[in-house]
Parts: sequence; C-alpha cells; structure tokens
Amino acid sequence: MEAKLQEIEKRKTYLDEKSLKSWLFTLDHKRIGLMYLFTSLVFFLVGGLFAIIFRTELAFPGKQFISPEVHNILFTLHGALLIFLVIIPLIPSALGNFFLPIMVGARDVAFPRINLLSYWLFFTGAVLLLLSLLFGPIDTGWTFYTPYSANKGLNVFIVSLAIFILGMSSILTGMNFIVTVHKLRAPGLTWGKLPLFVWAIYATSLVQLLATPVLGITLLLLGMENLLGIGFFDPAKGGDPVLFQHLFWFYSHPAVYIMILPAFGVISELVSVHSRKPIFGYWFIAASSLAIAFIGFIVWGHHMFVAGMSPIADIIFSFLTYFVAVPTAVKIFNWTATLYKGKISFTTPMLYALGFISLFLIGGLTGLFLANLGTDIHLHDTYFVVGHFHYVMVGAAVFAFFGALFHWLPKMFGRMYNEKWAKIGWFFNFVGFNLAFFPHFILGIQGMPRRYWDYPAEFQGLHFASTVGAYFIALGALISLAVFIHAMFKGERASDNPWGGKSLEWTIPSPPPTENFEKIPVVEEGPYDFVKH
Amino acid sequence: MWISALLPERASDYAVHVDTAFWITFFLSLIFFVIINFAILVFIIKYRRRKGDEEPGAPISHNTPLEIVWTIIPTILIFVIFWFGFKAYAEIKWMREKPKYEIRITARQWGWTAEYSDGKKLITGTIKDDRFITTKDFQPIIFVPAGEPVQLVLTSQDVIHSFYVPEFRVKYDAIPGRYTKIWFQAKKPGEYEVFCTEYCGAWHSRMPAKVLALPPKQFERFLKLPPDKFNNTLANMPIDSIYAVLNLSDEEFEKWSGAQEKLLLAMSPAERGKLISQRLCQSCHSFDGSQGIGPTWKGLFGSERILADGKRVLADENYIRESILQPGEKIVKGFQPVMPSFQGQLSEEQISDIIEFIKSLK
Amino acid sequence: MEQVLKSHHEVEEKHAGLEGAKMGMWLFLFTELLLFGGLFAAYAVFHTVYSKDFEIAHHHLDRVIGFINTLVLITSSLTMALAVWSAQTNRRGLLNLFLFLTILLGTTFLVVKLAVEWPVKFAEGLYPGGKEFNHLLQEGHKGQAIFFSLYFMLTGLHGLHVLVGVIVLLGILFLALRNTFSSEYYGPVEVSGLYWHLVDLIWIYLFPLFYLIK
Repeated sequence: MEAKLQEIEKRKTYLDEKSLKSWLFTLDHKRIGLMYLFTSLVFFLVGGLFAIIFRTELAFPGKQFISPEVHNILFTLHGALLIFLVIIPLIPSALGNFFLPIMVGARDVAFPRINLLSYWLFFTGAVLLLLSLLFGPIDTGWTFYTPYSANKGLNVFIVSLAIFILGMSSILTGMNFIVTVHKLRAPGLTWGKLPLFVWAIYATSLVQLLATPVLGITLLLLGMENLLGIGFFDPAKGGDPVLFQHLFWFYSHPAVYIMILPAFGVISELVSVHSRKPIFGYWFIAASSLAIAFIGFIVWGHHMFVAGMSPIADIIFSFLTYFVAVPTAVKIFNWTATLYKGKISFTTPMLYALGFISLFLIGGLTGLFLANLGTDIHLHDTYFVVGHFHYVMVGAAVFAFFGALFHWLPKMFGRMYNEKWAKIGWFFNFVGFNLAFFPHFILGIQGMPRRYWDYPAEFQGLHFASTVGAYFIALGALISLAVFIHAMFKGERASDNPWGGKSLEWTIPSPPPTENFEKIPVVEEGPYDFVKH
Repeated sequence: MWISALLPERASDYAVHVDTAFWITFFLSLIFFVIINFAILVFIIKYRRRKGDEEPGAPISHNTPLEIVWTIIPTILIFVIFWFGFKAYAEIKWMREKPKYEIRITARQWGWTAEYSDGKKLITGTIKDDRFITTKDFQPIIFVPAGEPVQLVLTSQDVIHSFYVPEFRVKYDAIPGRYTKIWFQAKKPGEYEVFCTEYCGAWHSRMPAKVLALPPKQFERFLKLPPDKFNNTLANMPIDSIYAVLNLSDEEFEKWSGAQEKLLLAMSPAERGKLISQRLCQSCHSFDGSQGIGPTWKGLFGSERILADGKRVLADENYIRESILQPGEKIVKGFQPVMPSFQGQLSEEQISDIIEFIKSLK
Repeated sequence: MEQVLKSHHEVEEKHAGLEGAKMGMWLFLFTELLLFGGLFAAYAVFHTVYSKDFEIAHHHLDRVIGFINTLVLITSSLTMALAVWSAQTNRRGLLNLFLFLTILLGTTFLVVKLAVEWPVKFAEGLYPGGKEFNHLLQEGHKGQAIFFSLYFMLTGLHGLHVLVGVIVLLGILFLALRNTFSSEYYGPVEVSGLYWHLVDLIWIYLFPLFYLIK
C-alpha cells in the first residue's frame, strides 16, 4: 500500500508545471477549464454579495440604508454578473472544458489555441464590465429595456462592448465543442455510447452558436445608440422599443437553455453513477436535450405578453412555449426511474442531484403559470417571475454545479473532500434557497411587482423571511466553497475511481496526465454499463 | 390592509377566468410534484445502498412503452392548461360590449396622469419618503363606474412603464411613441391599487395609484361636475373627503357645489395653489422650513438662491416657473438634481396658483 | 478500469484536420449570418414602417460608386477562389498572385467606402449626430434619419469584416510567400476563402437594400 502510494505520488499530472506562464499561455483544456472555474467563482461571490446587500434593504419596508439609485445598480449588476460571467459559462466552460475531451477519448479539444483565445476573451469581457463602473455603474436592469437604457452614455456602451466580447468567447467555445464531438471521438465511441453530459454540452453548444450572435448585434446597436445617438430603439428618434425586446429575447430565451442544459447533463451523470445503475431512457434523454434546444428558439415572445405584441403572436408564443414542458418532464421521469432498483449512496453529489430534481420541478412547473396567457398577465413582472427563474437558475443549475464540483473533484485534483462539511453546506443551501425564494411565488401572486426598492408595508412578512433565506444561502455557499478549496490543497488522497463510474474520465489517473490517455482507448462498453463483481 | 392570503380579491368581471386557469394549473402541478417527490422518497429509502455492498443496481435501462405513455400524458395536459389560459386571455383582451367610458392615461417618471374626454384630469406623483408607506398612501388616478366596462388608453411620455391592477388581474405596458389599450369592469365599488410594473428608473417602486370604483349615483355626480371645478377640488382631495362629498344628500351636494363655485371664486389663487401643492409637491418641499429632498418653500420667494455652480439667482416668478417645467436648469447648492418635470401636467393657471401659494409662505 | 482498453494496437490519433477546420469555419460563418441577420431584421421592420422616407433618403447614395464597389468585391471573390485552386494544385506562384489581388481589391473596396462615400455623407451632415441628421429628426422625418443610421451601422459592420478579412489574408500571403502551402496542406487558404465569400455575400444583400430601393 505504501509502495503504491509512493508510485501514485510520482505520477506526472497536468498540475505539475507551476509557472505563471504555463498557466496563462496553456493549451491544456483542463487548465483552461480551471481558469474559467476560478474566474466565475469570484464573480459568483461578488454577485451574491450584491444580493445580500439589497435583500437586507428589502427585509423591512421604507428606506433602511441604501437609496433607490444604489438598489437599482445592485440588482442590475447582480443579474448581469451572475448571468454572463457565472451561470452561462460555469458548467460548459469550466467542467465541459475539463471533461468533454476526456469523455470522448481525445487528448484535447479540436482547436486548443482557439480555446485559449476563448478564455482570454472571457477575461477581457469581465475586466471591461468592471471598468464600466468607472463611468457610472449601470442601473438599467440586466435586460436593458429601451428607451431607458438608450440614452445613458458611455457606461452602457462599455457594458455592451463587454458582453459582445463575452459572446464571442461563448461562440468560439461552442464551435470548438461541436467539432470536438464530431471529429475527435475515440474508436468505438458511437453517439449511442456518449455520456449524457456530452450530449448536453453538445446541445448547449448548438444553442450558444446560434443564439449569441443575435445578442451581439442587439447590444452592439444599443451601445451605438448610447455612443453615437442612432435611434433604432428610441421612439424620440423614430425607433421602436418593442423591436429591442424582440431582438433581446431572441437570444435571452435560448440563453436560459444554455444555462440549464449542461445542468441536465450533470444530473444524468450523478443520478446514474451514485445509484450505480444505467440511466433510464438514454435515447429519450438525449433526444429531449436536442428538442429543448430547438424549441427554445421559437418561444421568445412569452416574455412580451403585455409589451405590445399582437394577440395572434401572444397566442402562438404561448402555445409553442408549452411544448418545452414535454421533453423536460420526460427527463424528470427518467431520472426518477433511474433510482428504481438502484444502489443509492447518499453522497454530497447525490444530495445535490436529488435537491435538483425537487427544485427544478418547482421551477419548471411555475413556468407553466407564466406560459399561460391568462395567468401571465397577472404574474408578469411580479416576484413570481423572480421566484421562477431563481428556482431554475439557482435551485437547479447552481445545485447541479455544486453536485458536479464534488463529483469530479477527486478526478480533477486526486483528493477527496470532507463529506460531513460538504453535506452541512448542502443543508444550508437547500433550506436557505427554499426559504429565500418560495415566498417570492406568494408575493407575486399577491401582486408584488419586481425591481422594487420599496413596497407597501403590507407585504413585509414574506420579504423578511426571504432575506433570512438569503443569509442561509450565503452561509451554505461559503461553506461549500471552503470545503472545495480545502479539498484542493489538503484533501485526503482519493482513488482514481471513488464512485465506480464507467465513463472514460474514470479510467485515467487522478489527477490526469496532461495528455489524458497513455493510449487512445478503443471503446466497447457504454458509460453506464455497471458490472457485477 | 388589502393583502390577501394568495390571490387578491376578484374585483373585475374577468378575474374569475384568470383564477380558474390559475387553480387548474396549480392542481395539475401539485399532482405531479407530489407523485415525483413521493416516488423519489420511496426509492431512496427502499433502494439505499447497504454498507459494504459494491454491486451495481438492476440493469434496467429503458422501457419504451412506459416512456411513450409518459410523453403523451403531459402533452395532453399542457393542451388543457393552454386552453384555460387562452379562455381567460380572450376575456381580458376582447370586450363583449363597447366600453362606456374611455380614459387616457399617460405614464411618466414617476407618476400618472389621467384625462377624461371632457377635460377632467387627475395626476398622481412620486412618494419620495424614506419612511415606509402603506396602500393607504396611494392616491386615486381614475374614477370609474362600478359594473360598467371602462377602457384605458395608455401611453408614456418618457420610458416604458406598466399599468397593473392586481385585483382586476389586468396589466399592460405604457409605451412611449404608441398607444396601448386595456379594459375592465369593476364588479363592485371600492378602491383598487395600481402599481407600475415595468422598471422605469429610480422611483419605479414609488409611483402607485388607485382606481376608485363608484356606485352609479356617485359616479353620475362625478360625471356631471364641470371639469375645471373637478380639477380644482375633488382631483386634489384625499380619498376620505372625496367619499364624503360624493355621499352627501342631493341637497347638501347642491350646497357644496354652489359653495365650491363660490369657494373657488372666493378661493384665492394661493389657496388653490395650496391644494395642488399638497398633493404634488409637499413630499419633497416642506412648507414650514423643515429639511427635505428639495428646498423648503418657507421664505423662498424673493430670496437669493445659491446654485450648485456658485451662481446666484433671484427666486422670482420666472425662476419658480422654470423650476416646475425645467427643473434641471438651476439646481440649488446642497440638493440633488432629482426633481421631475411637470411639463404637460399643470396648466398655466395652476402654475400661477402655485407661485402665489409659495409667495404666501414667508 | 482496464476492461475498456481491449486493443493492443496503437490507435490512430484523431485530429480536427482539414474537415474539422472547415466544419469549424462553417459553424462560425453561420453565426455571422445571424449577426447580420439581426441588423437585416431591423432594416426590414423600419423599411415597412417608413417606406416613403427610405425611398427619399436613398437618393442621397451614389448608385454608380456602390455598383463599382460591388464589382470590386465580386471580382475579389473570384480571385480568392482562384487562390484556393492554386494552393490545391500546387501552383505557388499563382497562389501568391491571386492572394495579392484579393487583398488589393478588398483594400480598394475599403478605400472607396471610407475615403469616397462616407466623407460625402459627413460633409452633408447626414450621419448620427450630424447637423442635417438632427434636422431630419426635428422636422419629423425620423424615417430618413433611421435610414442613415442603418446605412452606417450595416456598411460599418460589413466594412469591419472586410478589414479583418484583409488582415487575415495578409497573414496568409505572408505564410504563402514562405512556401508554407502546397497540395498537401492548404487548409488555412481554403478556410479564409470561405470567410471571404461570406463577406462578399453579405454585401450582395446589402447593396440593393440601400442603393436600389424602388
């Protein structure tokens, strides 16, 4: 055992080279994935901090300690930072980068240099976003509706430019992943043997590729409105504010599927590996990812039922929106069915996966109320919407991220995390999340509008509960990240395959060598073919 | 306190259709939520891995008939939910009869203006207090007859706002450069809160209003009042006083009406100005010298003002008029440039009245 | 873990290769179509709303110059295609020539746009922020102002793409002069060619929309 440990310690890994240059100019997809991971986590904390501040203000009616102007800046930055720098890139660019090539049996992505370029574009966009604060922090909401955002000036221009550059990063990554999956699969690795995480990233990349350019042009035009005074979206200059909304949501609706599809892929992995059972309904799940990606492109108008569209448009968009519920429901049934007759371990990743299923169910079901023409008129732009999207973006996507992080931590660093503290972090995340956001549904139904710095005192009780929940989430997130950082440096040595997974990443050493595989494998079994001993 | 436990009171005729769609969606969702969570709970208990067991679970990878069934069932159910939503939407969008009355609503940063076809006008403003507010602080923006269909034509003079009456279940954006329409029929008399529901800047959360639905007799009285009399009296009064006046007996009302004539004629411009100022200006400008968001009016007229850029100006009639219409032009030192413009909200006569009132505050 | 690796032979390593590079470029070009698509959609919306104003405004554009520029760009697509053919058939001298001609034609397009067409508009004040432009807004001819805004945005974004193309082709020419390409290895030339053809295609849609409105 001692000898074996010594041998393991001597193995070459992708972490060996320690110079700064070897990180900043790396072509190794695993290192690029880690750089994305840490950059996003920093902004996760910043965006979360902003929420803690304005939730504290909102705990009581009347002004507590921040002015409405500051509140509006905080909710704008909270949304913009968390959406563009955290949720969209997190699972695909961090974990996707690390694991996609390994899962298809390749040594790297199709275009490693473009991958590095993607990261630096991402970093540039992030820096520009911060730089824009020097010109007056934006307060337009992350949705930038015109004409409010059309005449703000240099700060909106710089933010538009920043997000445009972030979009370029997203597009190049999507392109890289698609070519990788098509061209670099190891011999024997047919589409039917791909892990569902790969299917999910593939579907996400398709959406990234096709939707992001439209955001690019929309924000470019918005930036030009602010810089040069062109008036496409400002009625005072002959423009149309509703046109902005169409162009904006044409991207931003598919964007939410960029945020959730990778999470779906993660859950398929976690549920099957931690119940040591094949995923139920592989082909239905793979097909549903593609179906959701496709349907996601034709429903954007459901954000605009009270914005000035014709009734025919309203009806068509509502009808089409309902179709996205079917493939989504199918996934939920399949994950649940995977548990049947499994051998379920209550590891932290499994807890996050189970939490995901419950929370995503609520998030998805509340979407039905918003797709509904009758109820949406009442619920649009109220706290109900805020509750809905936090359940799917945080309760689902962020939970999937944490589950994935702990699931793959042993592989990325060759170390195990502290199970007890990770579970404590999960507990605060789960309880805190429900306490913070379930009240939002009730508030919205009662008529409480969103983006309000203050509210009539009659709404107070639920706001207070929500703020307490926010603090719990902060505790849970900090504990979880502390467990992660501690494990990275001081965790106990983990075996190469602590969970008994069957996809290719579990066949190579932990941490992996730079070239991933000593020899490119010839694949004969599927990723969920768990074997009897 | 009007807050309901969940859905607000159904105050409009079509609200019941919205609530039907809501509850059907809710119960179908609840059924699925319970089934899935129950299944998960049962499975994780029954199929938990026992200590030392390294064997995999059963190699069940799919069941095509089952998967097809549970694809078809949700597909059918979503059509059901869609249908009830469409029904409610149709009720909200398309009126069964022509509206009896049409009111023009203009949104602005940060308040509302309502105009009737005969010239009656109501304006609500921004509640800029630091202290907390309740729905009792909301001012009426429209008077409508209970039991009759009313149409609102919405627009904005600056950015996108949205007119939302939760108790009616109706909402639509007020968009600059175009007109949008909503209609409703209040089931019974009452006060129904209005919220701006499209983020419009700093005071988005503090431009609330109220719909005042009146019984037929009271609404008749409102209709018959000549516009300028209404604009100078009821339009500026607190809700309790409005009800008090509208509920007077015929004789008393005649007396009040006549008295209003006389009162109005007798009322000095300063007194008329006071009424308007109490409603639209007092939240920022005190009349008694106390500190506020804007400079106090006590002793303002005729004084020398020191502006933010150091210049000095005399606070005469022109200065005050400019401050009302183009408040950004001259900012007094020590104050923020946050005053909204009242261009288009106040008539020349009202502006003169306000100036006279300010003059009276020595 | 070992049960996966059943093979004892060395397996051929996969690379993206020429096919992969072409796939990547096609995917990227698709995104460019969507980028311009958003602008074309905006154009379509405003043309419908302001059809009269668009008709009036377009008379300010010089059809002859626009036509010349169109010819220049179409010819450059031809020379680019010939450059790719030259690389594929090992004709190094012709490759250098055709690359050079493409760059020359691309630069001509840019010069005509930036040194001839645009300055005329600047002098006339018909640009966002310009005197005549503001005049149009104030006089209620907002549609004409929108036309010029669209004109500058679309031709500007397109011009930027031409510029990037010219720079990339300069890089390709530099490599070609060092004998980097042959019938064994010509991927970068072909892939750059794809990009260049798209840039041409976009102009072919743009030209009638602005210069030939009836």
